[in-house]
This record gives sequence, structure tokens and C-alpha cells, in this order.
Amino acid sequence: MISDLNFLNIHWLVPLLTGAILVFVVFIWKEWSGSFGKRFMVNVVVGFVALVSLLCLFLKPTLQKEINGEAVLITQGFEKEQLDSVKKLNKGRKFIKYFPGMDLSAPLDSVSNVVVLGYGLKGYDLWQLRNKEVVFKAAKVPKGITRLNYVVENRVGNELVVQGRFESPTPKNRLVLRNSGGSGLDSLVFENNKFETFQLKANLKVEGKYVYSLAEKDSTGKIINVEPLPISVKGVDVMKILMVNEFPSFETKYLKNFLAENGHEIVVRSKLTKQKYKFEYFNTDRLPVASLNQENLKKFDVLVLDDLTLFNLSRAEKNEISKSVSEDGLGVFVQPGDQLFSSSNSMVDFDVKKENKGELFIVWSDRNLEKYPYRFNNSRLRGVPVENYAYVLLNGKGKFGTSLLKNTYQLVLEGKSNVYERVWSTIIDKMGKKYKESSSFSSPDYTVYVNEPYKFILNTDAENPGTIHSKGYQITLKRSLIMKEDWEGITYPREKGWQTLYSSKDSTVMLNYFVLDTTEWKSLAYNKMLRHNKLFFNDITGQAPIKKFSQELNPLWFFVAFILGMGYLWLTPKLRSLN
Amino acid sequence: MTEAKKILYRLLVKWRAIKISEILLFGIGLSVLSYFIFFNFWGAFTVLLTLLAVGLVLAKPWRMSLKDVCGYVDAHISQMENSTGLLLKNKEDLSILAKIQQSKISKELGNYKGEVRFKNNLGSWFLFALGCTAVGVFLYSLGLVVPNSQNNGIPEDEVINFQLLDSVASTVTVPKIIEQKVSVQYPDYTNKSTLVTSKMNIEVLEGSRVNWKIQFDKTVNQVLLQKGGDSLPMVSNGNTYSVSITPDYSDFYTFTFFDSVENKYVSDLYVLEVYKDEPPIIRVEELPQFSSFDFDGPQLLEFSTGLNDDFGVSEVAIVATVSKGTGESVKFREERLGFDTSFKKNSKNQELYKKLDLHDLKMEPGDELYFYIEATDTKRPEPNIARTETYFSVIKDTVTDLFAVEGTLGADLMPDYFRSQRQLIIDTEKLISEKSKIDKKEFNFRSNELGFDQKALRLKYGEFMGDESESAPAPAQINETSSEEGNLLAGYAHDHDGDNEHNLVADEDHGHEHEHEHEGDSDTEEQEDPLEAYVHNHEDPEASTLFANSLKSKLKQAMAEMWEAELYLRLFQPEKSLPYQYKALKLIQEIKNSARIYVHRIGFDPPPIKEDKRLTGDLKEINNYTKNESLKSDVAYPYIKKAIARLEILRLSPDVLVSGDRELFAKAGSELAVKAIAQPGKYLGTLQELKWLSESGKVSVEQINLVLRGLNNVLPDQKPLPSAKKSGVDKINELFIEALNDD
Repeated sequence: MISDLNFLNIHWLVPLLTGAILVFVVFIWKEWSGSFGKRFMVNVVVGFVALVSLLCLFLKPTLQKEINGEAVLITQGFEKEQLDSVKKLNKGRKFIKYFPGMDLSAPLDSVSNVVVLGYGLKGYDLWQLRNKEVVFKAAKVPKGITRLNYVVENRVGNELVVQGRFESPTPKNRLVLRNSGGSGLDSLVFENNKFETFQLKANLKVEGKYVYSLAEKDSTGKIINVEPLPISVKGVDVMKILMVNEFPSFETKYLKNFLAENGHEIVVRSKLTKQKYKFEYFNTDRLPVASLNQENLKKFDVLVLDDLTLFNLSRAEKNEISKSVSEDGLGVFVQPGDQLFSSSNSMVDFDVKKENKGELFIVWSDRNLEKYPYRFNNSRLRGVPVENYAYVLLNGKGKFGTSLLKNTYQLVLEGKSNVYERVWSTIIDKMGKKYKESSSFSSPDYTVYVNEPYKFILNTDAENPGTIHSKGYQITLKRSLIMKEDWEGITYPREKGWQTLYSSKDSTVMLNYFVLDTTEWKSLAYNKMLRHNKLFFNDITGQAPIKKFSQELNPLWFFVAFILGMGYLWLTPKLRSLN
Repeated sequence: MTEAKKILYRLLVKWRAIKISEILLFGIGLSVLSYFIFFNFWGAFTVLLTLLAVGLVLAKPWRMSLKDVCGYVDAHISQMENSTGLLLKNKEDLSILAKIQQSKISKELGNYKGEVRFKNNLGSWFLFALGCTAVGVFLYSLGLVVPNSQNNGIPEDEVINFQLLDSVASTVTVPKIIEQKVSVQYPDYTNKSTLVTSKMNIEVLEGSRVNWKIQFDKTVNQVLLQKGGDSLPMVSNGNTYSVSITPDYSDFYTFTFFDSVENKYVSDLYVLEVYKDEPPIIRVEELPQFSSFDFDGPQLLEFSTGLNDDFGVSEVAIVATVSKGTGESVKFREERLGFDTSFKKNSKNQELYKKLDLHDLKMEPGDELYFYIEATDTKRPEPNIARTETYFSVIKDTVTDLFAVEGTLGADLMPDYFRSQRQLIIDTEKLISEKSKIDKKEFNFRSNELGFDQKALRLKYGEFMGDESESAPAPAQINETSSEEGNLLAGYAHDHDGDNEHNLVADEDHGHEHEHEHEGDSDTEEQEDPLEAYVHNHEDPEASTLFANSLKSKLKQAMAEMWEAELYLRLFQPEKSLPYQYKALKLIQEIKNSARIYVHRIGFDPPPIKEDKRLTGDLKEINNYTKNESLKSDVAYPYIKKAIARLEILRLSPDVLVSGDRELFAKAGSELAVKAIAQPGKYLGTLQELKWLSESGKVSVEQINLVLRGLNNVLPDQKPLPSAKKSGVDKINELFIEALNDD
């Protein structure tokens, strides 16, 4: 009990206590009449009580008290019937209307149990309910797009794939993916389902930052709702590829032509005869590639070998290549051949199994592709299949890869260049080295709203990095507790639209983010809130901890005690003298 | 009213009508002329009215009265005895004498009314009007006068729409177009009159001269016609501005001008489409590509040709080439022939007919005719020329009979005086069938002849067999006759028989000759051997004696049959000879089939290499080979792409355009124009808006959306390409993969 006692003006304790003791000593000395009589004892006690009361008037003592108040927090999307029934059940409850960013400390001061109605609180407000027992009576999932997935930062030539889930769609209505000018690129007609999962696609033609949109139209074509879809499209960065062949082959010839014509830097080394090679350099200056060592390979993103070359590599070369892969992140693509699959080599094992099929079906191609009669077992933990025709084994920072496809150049000869290009673009892209940037931005937040916190992380080796907003103000960063390269920051965007953050050390390192208006993507935001809240409140399991709060003792009591004490001490000598 | 008075009235009316007609003709003539000069219908009408009024006032036809008519009649018809005036008077007012005279005159008038002829100039006025019209038409057709476009009569949607570029000065009253016209003067050769229109989207023929003329209601500073990247200043003449060009290619153009306070205005975008004069189209009907004629039949080619051209055909001809002879002696002769129907020059559409007699071309059997029809249009300076495909025609040559050995050997080894066994059979059968028709002597003679031929054949084969014969197989004098006969019979011959047999002959002949060589015997025939130059098959196993031996027995057998056949022919019993001949033929055919000459088609068969010798060759001369090449292809539509990215930024935060933007949009516009010319319907709107963006200082979101939509449609789909990637250091990920590696 005594541990619960505290004083509001505890800092006055020492001078006040000293003063009080002095006063008390003076009081005792004045009362002292030579003997410990009954009167003396009574007066001392009364005087002590009065003095303590006086002291308490100044020190304002407080006592810890248990809280057991209840409140109902009404958030966006609550249902009226639910609110009415809650009201009926608990007459004495507090009803608080929630709006994002509000301070709940005062209204929830003496409240231990909270009922939350509706979609819940914004993520950044949830902490305010951390120490309460919360019953979350969630609203129904909102109508509209509740899940959305697409790649915000994409590349020219890639397909923009927008996937998502549309809750309780109106049958016959259409969902249209539109480009920034507003022309439809892909669409889908809703059927009579409870929800619809959708996937819309579009080719990305131009680099730049764009705001595409998803529009819901009714059957007559009238737009019901439009949601923005910010995307940032980057250009293609040139890759450096080394191709080493034991003999010139059509497969290599077509692959190198395709890559070189699209601007990539290609070096081809094909063996003519013993010790004699043909070196071809496309879009690049001469580079030393006569020997395959780590130093030479460092300059390349991808090394393409035919299987014979792989088998003829010397032990030293194998070592060098393996080192380049695991340390420098080189991607080694082995052009498949019978030997690759039938015999083993010391450098890489793709783990294949023989099968009888000599053709491969690809979803987006109308022609089956010729392949070697093998398939990947895909039993490796670090194996990543590339569609159904290629396989990549991660190895340190780099990777090894191969494909099952045979004679793909036939596709070009048949005029099916698009299939050929897509297959090889995918494979080579997957094989590419990932350049380690000195700094890079990332963000866990997918959607950003005006006036809401936006968290981001700057990954850098630099000491004391900073961030500058495109408007010029600086944002200080906090080092992550887990990863020492990560620096966390929060900004509160003021305007909607594209915004950019730069690293203060290197202005080429930037983060583009699109700030939404609060009216946009509501269904998505509500659904996110619902899930977030459910997760958050589920974490608080069982009985809420007993919560106490310090309550100031009413000074009136001390005052009365003081007055009574003083009155007694003043009155008794008077009455005694009358006697 | 009396009859006479009525007549006088009619005369009066007629007289007035004549007067008015004269005035009318004068007026019409002048007003038509004025119409052709000013091209203003209402103006011409006003001229007509004015002239009519003036004419009427001067001539005053209403002043004419019956009295005048009477005076005129009196003056011109003596029979009226100067008394016509009496007819106007009341009977009651007249004296008896006058009454008598009146009734007489009224009768006379009835008789002579037809003779009253008012002196008039109707004819000459009519000629005048006609002359005026002719002059007008002449001036118009010469292009000396250009129709003035209808003043203020420009249709609403054709009026050039100018927009002010800077919104600041919107209070200024915008200068208005009061006249706009484009005149297209076609090239002379087209004979087309000048086209004048107020429409600004125009299609013109290549080589035409285009003149724009626009007139403003107030003074403006500088007017430019912007076409593609060029700005052509328009020449001012008061408030009228004009410019002329001869466009070479399709393009878009706009007008820009600055008003008195230097505000800039830009008009909509217009299409100037230049089309080419098409080459003539020639249709040939009822004519097969290949035709052949028998020597004795008619050798006629009949066909009709349709000619079409957009501006007329100036020339047409059949270009015929006759080839004579074959091989090295071939000769060509070219002729240009006309059509039978007369060709109308400059006609746009006509049908021509031609009957081509090969005899007229002095063609003989075996000659070939190649011809095509060529038409030239009226285009100047360089006309378009069109021609049809080539047609072939040949007169069958029944005389030549080409024999060849196998296709691979280009030697004709057929000795002229030989007739094959098959020919002999045919001839024999023919002889048998004709037995009843011809007399016995003839029959016997022919049978004997056949017998001789059979002998010659037998001897020839025998010679190949190696049987040395004492006599030459065919004496010289017979040679000639046989040769003739042979030629006559050539029609019955079957090539394959002949040449196959002769392959055999040649083959065996060579073998035989070979023997001779060994014997050191110089046979005369040896020198004649035609295969000498071509064949040298000593080492051919199929020509070896071993092989020939198996044939020899068969050949001998065949010769025995021939012998029998000859015997019966000599005995004038061809019927009995036939079975032997058939047997001989069968045998010869068997030999032929088993002994065809063929060339081995063998690929290069390298000698096997010993494994240990592989890759041990001398490589000193072989060097590394290095090639450096740049294969980067250009980006398609670079400026359109840049413009899209820039427009997107402007769309999200409408900002004031900077001059760099305008330049960018102008460049994007010229990229788009190439596309838009091909499909103006699809891209013209976009191009127009883009033009606006490149000129104006302010933009609206709608405008940008419109342009973005259009530009995005222009761009082709981009194919996926691999790309280098960058990423931050993710220690956790790296550790994770490292952990996986250790599995």
C-alpha cells in the first residue's frame, strides 16, 4: 500500500519536511511544561496530525488505484445495429468517435476495457490501445478492391501485371486497367460471385513515372470509381555477357544477335581449333577473356557456357568461376546439351531426371518448344525454377542456371521471334548479376496517404547518412536495431502526387513514392486496417493486466484535519482558562 | 374591240417584247461575263438588274402606244394607205368615207399583219450575250481569272479556326477571317481546270501548284504558313495574305499570325495530301499466256485491251519480239505494233482491239513470239509507263526432232540414217495396212526397203557387238534417202526409244572402240565417235567387259531375230516379219533397261582419319580471329516517348510549359506526322493537340489526356528484355542463402 503512495510535489518534500520538523520541534518546546502529562501527549499528537495535514496540502499525495472503466470506440465503417446493441447492453459506457490521428489518452484515461466497432484504428494509432483489453467487433469487408498486388517499380518491355481481389462485385460491371491518358489496356467483366480475383496485364512501353488507373465501369460504360495505380518504369540497363563456346553454334549465334541488337554488351569466345579462338565483341571494347579467371569475369554479369566447355574446363578455371559466382555474384548459364544432363561435373549439378517427353508446353506460346528429354527434380532448397523451362541454383551471391530447351533458334527461323525473345529475356534476366549499390532505399509501406506517416529504410554502409526530401527539407534517420546498415526514417507527406527522397550522401540514390489522397483506395485501406487490427488485438490474449492510476487524495480532508487540529489546540487553552 | 384593234394590240405587245428582250440579252451577256470574272452570283444578278433598269429607262418601252404602232405600220406597209390610225378611232366619230376606209383598212390589216416586221437587233444582241459567255468561259478555263470564293459564304465548319496562344490578352478582339481559299492549279498535262475551295484539308496531285489566300478583317502583323518544319511567310496585299508552293510530299500545315499587339495565334492543323499520278492500267482479255499454232492452221491472235488512266494515256504499243532459230544461231527481231482500233490520245478510258497474224510478222515454224503491251500516260516531264506481262506464242515446228541422250549428257548421238526397231515395226504395220491400197510393185519395194533398214540396224548393232562387218552399214547414197525418209517419219518416232537405244549404242560403241585401240587398229568410225569427247569410262565397272558379256548374248539373240525379220521383209512378207521384229524390240528394250548410263552421284567421302592423328595438324598459319561490331539498334519514336513521360508529369501537376517542352512536342509531332499521313483519321486529332501544346503556353489536363492516349496508341508494344539489376545489401538474405548452400 505504501508503495502506491506518491506525491505530486515530491520535489518540495525535503524543504517542506525540514520546515515541518522545525515547526514541530518549536511546537514541542512550546508545549513542554516539564512533564509528560496527558495534555502534553494529546497536544503533541494533535499538533503532529495538523502539521502532517498541512504538509499534505502542499505535497499533494497520490495513491495508485485500479482502473476498471469501459469505453466504446466507434471507428469508420461501424454498423448501426451493432452500435445500438452495444449501447443497450452497457448504459454507463463512454462512447468515443474515432478519427485518425486523434489522441486517445485523455478519453481512455480511466478505461480498461474498450470495444472497437468498425474497421478499426489506423496502424499508427494502435499503440494507444496497447494496455487496454479490447474487443474488436469488426465491420464486414468493404465492397471494392480489397487486395492489390503489382510491381510498382518496373522495366520497359515488361508486363505490368495487376492482381487483386474485388469484394462483392456488381455483376456485368467491368474493371478496366487504363494507362495514364485514360485509354483502356485490359479489362474484365464481373460475374455473379461473392468476390472476384482479377489479373489485368499491360505492356509497359515508355520509361517514366506514371499514374495508371483501375476504373470500375457499369455495363453502360459509365465510370463508377477510379483508383490510381502509380508505377515507375525504368529503362533497360545494359548487361555485360560473356559467351564461351567449344565450337560455334546456331544457338549461340542467334542468342548473341538478339542480345547485341538490343544494346547489350556481348563478348563471344568460340573455339576454332586447338588453342585458337574467335573473339567477337559487340557494343563493347576489347576485353581480356582468353583466360577465365575471377579478375576477367568480374566485368561480366552473365557467363554463358556450352556444356562441352563446362566439361573441358580445367580445375583452376572451375575454381575461378565458382569463386566469381559466390563472391562477385556472377550468373553462369550453361547451354544445355546431352552431356550436361547425362554426366556429372564437379562444378554444378542441376539434378535432372530423364523423361520421355521431347516437347514442352508453355502457357503463353502457341507452339510447343523442343527440349531435352529431362526434367528438373527441383528438390534443392536453393533452386529456383524459371517458368517451366529453366532452373537457377543460387550460390553465394551469384547463381548457376540452365534450361531444358533445345534448338530455340528454330523459333526465330519460323518467325516466332516473340516467343524466342521472351524465353531468353526471362532466362538471361534471371541470371543477371545483382549489383550491390552503396546505398538504396526501400519501404515497407505500400500505400502512402497525405498526412500519414510513411516509413522508409535507407540501406547504406555510410556513417551518419541523412535524407533530403525533394522539397528541400531534411529527414533524420535512426539506425535499425537489427541491421546496422539499415537506417529508418519517417516522413509525413503534405501533398499528394509523386515525391522523391534523396540520400544526403549521394543524390543519385532516390526513392520515388506516390502519395494518395485520403479518398483514394478506401476499400483497400479499410481492408488493410481490418486485418491489421485483428492481428493486433489478437495478440493481447487473456485477461488484461490490472491497470492502476495514481489518484490525488482530496486536499479537503487534510484541510479539515488541519483546521480541526488547529481549532483544538487553540480552543483547549481558552476553555481551560475559563475553568 | 374590233378585230383590227386586237391585231394592233398584239403588234404593240410584240414590239415591246422585242425591245425588252434586247435589253435583257445585253444585260445577261454582261452579267454572265461579270460572273466569270468575279465569281459572285448575286453580284452578277445585281449587274443584270441594273443593266435592265438602265436599258428600260433609256428605251422606255412603256411609252410605246398603239399610235406608234399605227405609225410604224403606215410607214412600212404601203397598202395601209397611211390610214391605220383610223382603226383606233370610234366608228361613230368617223365620216362615212372614213368609215369605209376604216373597214377596208381593217381588212387589209388582217391580210398584212404577218408582214409587219419590227426592225430589231435581237440576233446581234443574242450573239453579244453568247460572245460574253464565251469570253467568260475562256478566261476561266485559262485560269486567268480565279473564282473568288464566296465572300462570307465559307461554310461554318470550314472557317479557319484560330486560337490565341497566350491567354493574357484575351480581351483583344480576335481578327476574323473574312475570306479563305485554296486554289490548286493542276499540272498542264492533266487538262484539269483550277480547283478552288475554301476547305483547308486538301488533296493535290503531285506537281500541282497550291495557292492559299486568306483575308482578315483587320490588319495583322505577320502571317506564316507552317508546313512540317518550314515556316513560309505569306505575302501581304492589304489584309489579304497569300502564298504558293508546289508540294512534293504529304504533310500537315497550320497558319500562324501575330496581331497588331503581337499576340500569337495558331490555326487548326490541316492535311495537305499529295497523291501521285497513277500509271495506266492495262487489261488484256481473251489471251492465254502461252499459245501455240500449227503450221498449217490459221495463226491468229485476237485480243482486246482495256486502258485506264487517271489523266489520260498518251501512247500505247504492242512490243513484239520474234525469235528465230535455236542455240547459238538464235536471232531476235523487235517490232512495235499498233492496235487495229484507232487509239484516242489523252483518253482516260478506252478499249482497243488487235488481231495479230503471225504470218505478217514473217514467222516460220519454230519461231517464237514474245509480246507485251506498253502504255504511257500523259504525265510530264517523266511519264508513267505501264506494261503487261509477256505473252508467248509459237508456231509448232513439226520438222525438227530433237534427240538427246540422258539429260546430263548434252550430246545428240542419233545417226541420221538409222531407224529404230520401233520405227521399223510401225512402218511395217503401216505397210501391211496399206497393202490393199497400193499396187504390188510398190508394196514389194517398200517391203524391201524396210528389209534394208532392218539390215542396217542389225549391222549397226552387230558392229557394237564387235562383229567386224565387211561392208559399211549404210552406203553413202542410201544415207541420203534414208535420211529423208527418216525425217519424214520423225513424227512417228518416240524420243525415249530413240535416245535410250542410242545410249546403249554409244556405250557399247565406246567399249568396242576401246578394244580397237588395244588392237592398234585405226577404224575410220573411231574418229567419228561422238562420245569420245564426253565419256571416258574405262574405270566404270558398269562398262566393263564382264558386264557387257551378259548383254552380248542378248544382243546376239536380238540380232538373230532381226535377221529373221529382214528375211521375211525381203521376201515381201511383212506380216511374217512382224513377230520377229517385236521379239527384237523386246530384247533391245531389256538390254536398254539393264544398261542405262547413269552418273554416280556420290558425295565427298573422306578417307577415315586415325583418332590419334586428330587435331595434330600444323596450326601455325591459323590465328585467333577478332571481330568488333556495334549492333545497337535505334530506339523507335524517341521523342514521342520523351513527350509521354513529360506529359505525364504535366498532367499530374499542371505547370507552365517551358521552351524545351515545346521543342520536344514539336519533334514528337513530326514523328507522329509520319504515322498520321498514313492514317489521318486515327492520329490527326492527336497531332492537332500536340501542335497546340508545342505552340501554346498553357495546357489543360483534358488536352494532355487526349495527347497521351493518342501517343500511347502510336507506340508499338515493347518486347521484354533482360536488364542489369541493382539492389541494396541485404545481409539477412545473404546469410540465408549461405545457410542453404551448406545443406
